[in-house]
Amino acid sequence: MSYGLITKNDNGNFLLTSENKAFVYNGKATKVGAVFNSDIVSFGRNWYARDPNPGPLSWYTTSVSPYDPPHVFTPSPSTGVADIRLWWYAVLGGTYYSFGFYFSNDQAIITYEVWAPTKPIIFVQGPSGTGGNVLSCHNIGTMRGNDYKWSIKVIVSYPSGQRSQVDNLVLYTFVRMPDITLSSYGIVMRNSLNELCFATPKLPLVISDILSLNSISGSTMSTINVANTLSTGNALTISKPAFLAVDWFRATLTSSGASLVPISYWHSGDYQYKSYGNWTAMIQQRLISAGFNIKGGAVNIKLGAVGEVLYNYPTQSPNLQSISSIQTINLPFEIPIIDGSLYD
Amino acid sequence: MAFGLKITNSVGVTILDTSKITFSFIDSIDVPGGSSGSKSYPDLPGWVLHVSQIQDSATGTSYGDINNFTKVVVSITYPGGIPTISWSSVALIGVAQSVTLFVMGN
Repeated sequence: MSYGLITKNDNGNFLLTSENKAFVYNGKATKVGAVFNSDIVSFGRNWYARDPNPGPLSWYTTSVSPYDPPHVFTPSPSTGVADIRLWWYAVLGGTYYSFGFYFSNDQAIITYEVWAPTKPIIFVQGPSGTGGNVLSCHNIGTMRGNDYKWSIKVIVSYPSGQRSQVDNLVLYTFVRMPDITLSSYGIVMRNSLNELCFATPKLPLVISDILSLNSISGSTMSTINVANTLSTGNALTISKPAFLAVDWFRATLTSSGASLVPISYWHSGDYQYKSYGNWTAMIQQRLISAGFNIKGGAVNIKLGAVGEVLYNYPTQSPNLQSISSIQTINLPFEIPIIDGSLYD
Repeated sequence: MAFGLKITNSVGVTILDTSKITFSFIDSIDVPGGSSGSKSYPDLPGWVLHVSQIQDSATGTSYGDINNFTKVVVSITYPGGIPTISWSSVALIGVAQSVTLFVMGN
C-alpha cells in the first residue's frame, strides 16, 4: 500500500488495517420464541377404505379413494420423548392397519431478535451436538437510535429428545463498521475514502479456523455424508466455536412408512380370501442445511426439513427418508469459524 | 507475542490482540444476481485466499422464498503471486438476489 497502517502478528496476519472496512461485533441475539418440529407436524392426512362388515365383500371407500388422501391430523406435543409417531389408519375387513411415520424430536425453529444498524452476519455456536442455521433475517421496522430491530429465524438441530439444548445456542452478530464518533478517548482509523476501518469501542471480527466442505455423497438421511476438513483444527480446541451461518444446501427429503394391508377380497363358496400388498404413505419436504457443531472431536454437519409439504400421497413404492435433487454451492466451499468466548 | 499489537480499553477488555488471529478478514464484496467481476489484492503477494458466500436470506416467515439460492461461481487465482478472485453470479434462482463474498486469507 502507498500509505496507511497495517499491524501484523508473528505469522504475518493482520487485524488492524486501513485497507478495508472490518466487520465488528454487534452483540448476541435474544431468543424470543420456539416451535419444535415434533409439535408442528400438521401435514398428516387420514385416509381409509373399509370393507363393510358384515356385508358383501367389496371395496367401500368413503369420501376419498386410497389414492386421494384427505387432510386432517392433530399432532400432540412430545416433550421429553425421542420421537413422535404419526399414524395413518386403514380399516379393512373390520381390522385396523396402520401406516407409521416417525418425526424425530431433534429439530426446532427458533426466533431471535437483535438491534443492529444494518443487516448482520451471524455466527452460530451451540453445545456438543447442537447447531443452527439462519432461515431468514428481516428488519421488522422498529428503530432505537440508529439501530433497527432484526427478526432472525434459525433452524436448530439438537440431540434427539434434548430440546432444552436449544436454550444454549448463541448467535453472535456482526455488522460492517458503522461510522461512530469517539466521545472521550481511544483510537479511530479511516481509509482514503474517509471510511472508518477501526475504532476502539468496537470489537473486530477475528477468524480462528476455516471449515472446508469438500464433497457430498449418499442418498438417505442415514447415509448422507459431507466430506470436510478444518484448516488448522483450532475449532476443535477453542472453547466456543461459532460457525458463520451460510446457506449452501438444498434437497428434497422423502419420508415414507409402509404397512402390509389387504388390498382386495374375494370369496368362493364358504371361504373368504384376501390379497396383501405393501402400501406406503409418503411425504416430501424441502431439506436444507441446519448448521454445524463440534461433536466427538469432529465437525458434525446437520440437515433439516423445513417448510410446507411439497407432495403427499400414498404409494406402493416404499422407501424411507431418501434424499434427492441435491443442490449445493460449488464445492469445495469454505466457512469461517470464530471463538465466541472472545465476545462473551 | 514477539510483535504485534494489543489494545485494551479502560475497563480491561481486550479490543484488539493480533496474537489471537489465525486468518485475516480481508474483504467483503456484495455481488448482485446476474453480475460478474474480479478483484485483486496487490498488497498481499504470497497470501492464500479463502472465500465464503453469504446468501441473501429469506425475508418471510413461511420460508417459501428459500426454494433455491443464488448461484455464484468463485475462482481464486494467483497471477504473478498476486491473489485475485473472480466471480460470476448466475441468473437469479428464487427470491434471494444478492450474495456477499466473505474474503479471508493468510
